[in-house]
Amino acid sequence: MTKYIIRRLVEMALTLFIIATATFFLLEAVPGDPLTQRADRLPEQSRAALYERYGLDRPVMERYLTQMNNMLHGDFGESFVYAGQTVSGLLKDRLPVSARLGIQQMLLGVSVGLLLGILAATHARSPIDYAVVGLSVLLISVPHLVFGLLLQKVFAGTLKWFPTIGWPTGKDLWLGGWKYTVLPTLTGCFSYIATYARLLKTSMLDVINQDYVLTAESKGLSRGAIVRRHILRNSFIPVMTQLPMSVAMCITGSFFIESIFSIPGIGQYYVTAVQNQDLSIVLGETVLLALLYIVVLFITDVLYVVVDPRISMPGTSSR
Amino acid sequence: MKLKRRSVLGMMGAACLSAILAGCGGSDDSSSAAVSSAAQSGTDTQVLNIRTTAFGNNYDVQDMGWRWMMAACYSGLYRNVADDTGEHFVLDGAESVDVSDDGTVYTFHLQPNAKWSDGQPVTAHDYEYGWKRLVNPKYLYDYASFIFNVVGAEEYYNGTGTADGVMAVAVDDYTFQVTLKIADPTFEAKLVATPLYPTREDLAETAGDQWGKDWTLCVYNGPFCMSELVEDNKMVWTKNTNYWNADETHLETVNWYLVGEDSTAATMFDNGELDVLQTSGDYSRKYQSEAEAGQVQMITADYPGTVCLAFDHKNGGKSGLMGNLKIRKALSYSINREEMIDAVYGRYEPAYGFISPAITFDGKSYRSQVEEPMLADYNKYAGDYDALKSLFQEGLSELGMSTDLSSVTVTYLSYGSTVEESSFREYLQQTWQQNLGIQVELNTVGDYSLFTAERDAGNFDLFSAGWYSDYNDPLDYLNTFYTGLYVSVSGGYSNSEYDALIDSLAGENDNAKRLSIYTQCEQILFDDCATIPLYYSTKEYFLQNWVKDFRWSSFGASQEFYITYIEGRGF
Repeated sequence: MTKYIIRRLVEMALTLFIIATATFFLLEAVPGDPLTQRADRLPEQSRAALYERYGLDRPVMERYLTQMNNMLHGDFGESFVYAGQTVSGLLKDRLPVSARLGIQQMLLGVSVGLLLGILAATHARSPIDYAVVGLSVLLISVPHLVFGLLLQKVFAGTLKWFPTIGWPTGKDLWLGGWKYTVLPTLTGCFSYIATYARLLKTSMLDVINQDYVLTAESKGLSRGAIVRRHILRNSFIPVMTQLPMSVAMCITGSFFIESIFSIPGIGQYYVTAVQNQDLSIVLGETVLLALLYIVVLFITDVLYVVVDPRISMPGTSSR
Repeated sequence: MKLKRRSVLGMMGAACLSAILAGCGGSDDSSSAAVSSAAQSGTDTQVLNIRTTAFGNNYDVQDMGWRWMMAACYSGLYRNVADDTGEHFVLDGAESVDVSDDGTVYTFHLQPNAKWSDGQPVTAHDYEYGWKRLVNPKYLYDYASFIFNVVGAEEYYNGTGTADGVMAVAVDDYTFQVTLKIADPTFEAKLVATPLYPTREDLAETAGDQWGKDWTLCVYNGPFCMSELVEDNKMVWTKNTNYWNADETHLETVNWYLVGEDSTAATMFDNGELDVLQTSGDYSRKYQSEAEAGQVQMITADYPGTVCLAFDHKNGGKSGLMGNLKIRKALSYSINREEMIDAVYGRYEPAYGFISPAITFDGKSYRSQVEEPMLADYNKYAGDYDALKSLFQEGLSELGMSTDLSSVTVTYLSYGSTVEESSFREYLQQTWQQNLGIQVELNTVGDYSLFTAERDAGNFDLFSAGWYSDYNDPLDYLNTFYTGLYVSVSGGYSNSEYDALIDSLAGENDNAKRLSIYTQCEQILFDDCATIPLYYSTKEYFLQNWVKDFRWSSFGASQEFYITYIEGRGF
């Protein structure tokens, strides 16, 4: 086990290095640079000065090595476009915002999704089933942007139940300002509802046809007890596989939702940084998100073995 | 020394007017109580909510970057404002100014009661530090060249001089003196720009490389102070009671909300969550009709920007045709500006010249003094597409090419994917194909970086270009066509006669002569058909009916609230 974990950690470091290098050179390969637009408006004589000021006049390899060296020391550098913004500032200020939004969306979305999934599976081929399937298709196919604007128009505009934009900050960051979070949470939870309702339904229908369910029925157990004890528990494995992915993705933010509701999260900033070719910020965010993803995958893999001894780890013996 | 003393009447007049117009209400600040009259009965809070689409993060006045928003928190020697009478500047940090007979020495007498938000007086030393910081080679500010005409400034910037050699000096605490190399009538127009605002040496030096980046380290000497910032969400300004003219400032709070979507902003404006709105496209049309019905107020003002199509003057374009004057004219005159503006934008003004009507000269709009140079020639061909086709064919003959128009392909390079940008491309393609019978290839790229790459690679005949002026003088526009200076605007245009005329302006103090040279320069551009002007930019603000005395500006802060007040909102 220890050997496996060490090997995985080395692999993770290597993956991060490759991701950082690839990101750096991909951004370099795109024509232009973060200063193009600004420089284009300046007289020729001031342009060289601008590039010199941001160190962009130096050769690519030199900048790559400097950047990598700085990153190893935890310094991702400063934004080219927004003076003073750094990746560490981003982690401190923006990540918690996206995290709360993501967690709320996921908790609500996954719970409602699972309930609907159970409902659809236990009422297979009934109008309830069709309604759940129809709803899932609708929820997954309509973009966030449309839902967000629609909810905003109705609940903030016409009914005035909730504020149109905004997000709790300061002491309210984690637990206060609920009224601000309702519409964004609803907007984002729809895709979770759709995903988990369909996932659990399919998985439950598979389990329902298993021999042990038949046995349980023949033993005369009640329908509720069969669902609870035998079907649900066994059909949760695909859900357990999906869930860590959702956790990893949920805190990385959503560009559209954050943009519509003016939420100071990480998602909106990431997209803007890519558009601006804001190298240090893109690099920092990419590496951090990759790290988050890799760590979650790693934990999931380890947990599999802990939860289900039948699953073996490569390079180790489960016998 | 001849005294040229300006009074603060302009500003005081505007402020008094606002007081007469029933002042501000609901304020709990005693300083504004004296102005109030009708407001006594109201329950209006003096809070203004306004939308923006970006915050910036640049609070270094010398850096100019975010001046359009932040300039309203600062105060320089002059403040540029616009109202129904157009753009003009008023004295702000300076109480009066003396100019020497030869126009090279400016002595500014500062407001003795001007203070920073931390209570320290605003002194001539703060101006001296700000100006010297601007040309300090350590910082390489983009706008350093704004004051290269100050004795010693360019030398200091280039490393051949010293800070002490820069003749922008504090004579005493409240007298700031600037010596120019040669007289420059555009100098005063530049004083409204934030790079020439004062900066506190003690704070800036302590902050080091965090200066301008960390807003909590800033102090303000304008009507408002920034008091809260939530990135991508909200910025709050509160009234700066230390501003020298704070008695006339009625708003207690200005809330800036970052709202990316026009649809969201419209919902908020309809709800009364926003008091001032800038929008575009269909929403603009919607509020235009609401304004006509009196439900909201609308302000439309000229903005010093001209949107053009630039030719490839360097290589004659991908088609090799752009070097021909007749072909350039046929392309330009075949665009019906009025129809295009109506079909694509629903606002703006058609352009038949290069210099925007927002630019003033000698106190009047330049455009009201000089007729648009393209208009006469354009009108000769107006709508006569057969004549324009013949003109195009004549051009082809001159180049020794086949006169079969259908075999001609012209490439238009542009970027962006907004509805307006896409509509314009399609409009242009259709217009040239229909009116001239030529083929139009659209080289459309995703963003500005890709655009410059394609442009530098020469994959175009024409590209989308334009100029938004930095200071209020026609020269800022005309400089862009000076050989080699702004290829991104001129497309590489070069004309020695034009350059010589621009050069002859140096040290020219006679306004009549300057006007004559400006007129000649602009005429040369259109005799040569150096560019295709499309439209003059305008600003469009929608305001709730309860917003009073809102001001705007093209060269300082885009929105000015220093005399704005709320009346009749009821909350």
